[in-house]
Amino acid sequence: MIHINLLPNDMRKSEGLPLRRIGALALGAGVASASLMLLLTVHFGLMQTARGHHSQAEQRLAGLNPDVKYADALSKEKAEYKRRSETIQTISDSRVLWTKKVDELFDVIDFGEKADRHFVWLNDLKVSAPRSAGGNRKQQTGGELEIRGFSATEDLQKYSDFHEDLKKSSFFEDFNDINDPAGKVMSFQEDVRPQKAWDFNLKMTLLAAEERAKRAKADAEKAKAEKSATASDKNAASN
Amino acid sequence: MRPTRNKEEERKKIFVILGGSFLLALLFVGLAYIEYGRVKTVRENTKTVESQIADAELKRAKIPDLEKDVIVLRENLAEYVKILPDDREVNDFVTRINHFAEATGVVVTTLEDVVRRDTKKKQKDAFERVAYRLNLTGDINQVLTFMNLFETHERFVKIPSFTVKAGKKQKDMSIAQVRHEVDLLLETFVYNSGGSGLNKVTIPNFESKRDKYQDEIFGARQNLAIETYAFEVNEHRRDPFLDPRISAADAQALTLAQEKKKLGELREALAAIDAALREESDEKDLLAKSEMRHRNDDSIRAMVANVDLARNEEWFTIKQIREEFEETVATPLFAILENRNLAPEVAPLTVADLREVQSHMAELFDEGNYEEVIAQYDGLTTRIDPAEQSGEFHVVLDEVSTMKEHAVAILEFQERDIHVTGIVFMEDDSSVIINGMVLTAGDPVDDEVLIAAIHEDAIEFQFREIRISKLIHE
Repeated sequence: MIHINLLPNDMRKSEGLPLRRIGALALGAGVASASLMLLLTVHFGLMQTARGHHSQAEQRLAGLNPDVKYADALSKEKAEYKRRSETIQTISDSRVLWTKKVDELFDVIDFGEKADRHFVWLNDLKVSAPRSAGGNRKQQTGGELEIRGFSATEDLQKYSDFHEDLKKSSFFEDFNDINDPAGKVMSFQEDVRPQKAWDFNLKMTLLAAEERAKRAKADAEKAKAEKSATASDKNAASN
Repeated sequence: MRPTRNKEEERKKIFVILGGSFLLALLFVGLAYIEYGRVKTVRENTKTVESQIADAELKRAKIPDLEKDVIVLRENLAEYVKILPDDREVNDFVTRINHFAEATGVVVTTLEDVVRRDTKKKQKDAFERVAYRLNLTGDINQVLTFMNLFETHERFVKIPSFTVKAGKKQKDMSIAQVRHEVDLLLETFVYNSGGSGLNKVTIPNFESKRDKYQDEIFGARQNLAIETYAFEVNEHRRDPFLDPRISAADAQALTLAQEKKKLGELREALAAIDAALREESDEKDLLAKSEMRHRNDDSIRAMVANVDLARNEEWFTIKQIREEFEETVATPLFAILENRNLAPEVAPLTVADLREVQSHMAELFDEGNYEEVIAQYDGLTTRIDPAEQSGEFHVVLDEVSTMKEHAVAILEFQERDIHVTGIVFMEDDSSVIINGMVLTAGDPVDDEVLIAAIHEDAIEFQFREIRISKLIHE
């Protein structure tokens, strides 16, 4: 149905904003305001709080920094001292007391002769330092000892006894291996007694420094345990 | 037419209003989203910083332990590196070598500085190697003593390698003059406390903390002991680098000398046995005599075993020495053996045995068979066990000994020249004529005999603390 307002304009009932437009305006303003509120909350609420926390954390970290630097410096110094201690320990462990070893070797020769087991004299004794296996590989042995000499007489048993005595002696405890008895019988031109002897060349490989150090430590601990056991036995006996 | 157009316009306006509003809202939401993203970034950064704070606090918590470790290591390393020579000592190393050479008698023929030290280098390593190669000569004890002086030196010195070449004995040389050739590498390390890689941290209150950790410092230090070995020259051991064999001519001479020496030793042993047997024979005390006899029998048996060994093992290969051995040692020894009748071992005497012998001796004594009493007693000496501790045994033995002493005294008394030629017996004043002298009770007959009592038919003499009655009609 068509409505026709025939009243003059000034007589007509004032119209104002239509309701729909007002509704639209209200809705639009509401949505816009809500989103603005969201923006403001994020910016002034969350962001400021986060920045505040961050700033506090930064300040706390800055306060800890001197301690951190101190601790780092101590750690670095500790590591360096540890490295130096290990180096000096390695230097110390790598030392073989050769006078002791040679003394023990001579005892083997001497005792064997007195017990009439063998009759040996030496021509050469050579001790070589451990050779690096190359690259960064650890040294596998602690060096080599080589003895060249003679075992009188032509009796192979005597030479074999010397070899056996060597292997059983305290001298050999620091060695890894020894070559088997080999050589040849020499007949000397000089008018000496005995005139024949085995010309031998024995090579022994020393245990690696770490193994020798371990063995020495184990021996020391064993000796300590034996000593304390003896002491406790004595105490028990005296009680 | 107009109202329709108005409505259209109104709809457009509403659309514009709503559209504009939503666009604005979208803008705000977009901005809020972007801002929230930034908030998240700030929060993440904060988390990172917080984790750094956690790490930092962990590090701070470890500071006391780190300080302790550093102090322990510092102190121990400072102590441990004392075994290494310092710069001055390294510079004096050659002087040290010279002193040791002089002290031991080795002769250093060459000295080479194997590792040349760069003293001008600023950035030094913590441990700087110093090495010298030496060539020297000396006998084996000199060489080992020289090496040992370095190995027991207060500063760490290592011998990584060496060779010993046996010296040759020349004809006009004594063994003591033979010198071996030695090639020796001596190595040590100098510690540069600064060295590269080390920045010493200033630890607050270092001294007091160091004092606090003394136990830990000492505990860790015990693990750093360095082994040493004190070599001692063994005079009874030959030099293994010398050919110990002897020439054939020397061997013959040595055999003669050795055999003579051996024979001399056996003769001396036999002479000692002879002397011991004489001493045994002169001994009066039965127990002592018995002990001597046992001892001497043992010596004789040992000597016999030795002589048998000499024969079986042919100690004496030279005919003249062998004959001398038989004549002067073996024959006299076996004669002694025969005289002693050593072959069967006699069972030790028991108290019962001794009492039986005592009873038999008493019977013989009563019969006046004094020689047999003494023989019985002498027979006991081989059977008495010196270890016998029984009191009863010793009492009986004393009685038997006294009986034997009496028998000996009586026999000796009988051998004395005592002739009774007259007697005047009265109750209280008897007298007797002995060897032409008129004597009364208490008068001496000679130095050892005096008259103890005079009876009607007998005279009692005192001789060596025993009384011996002599019948007048004897």
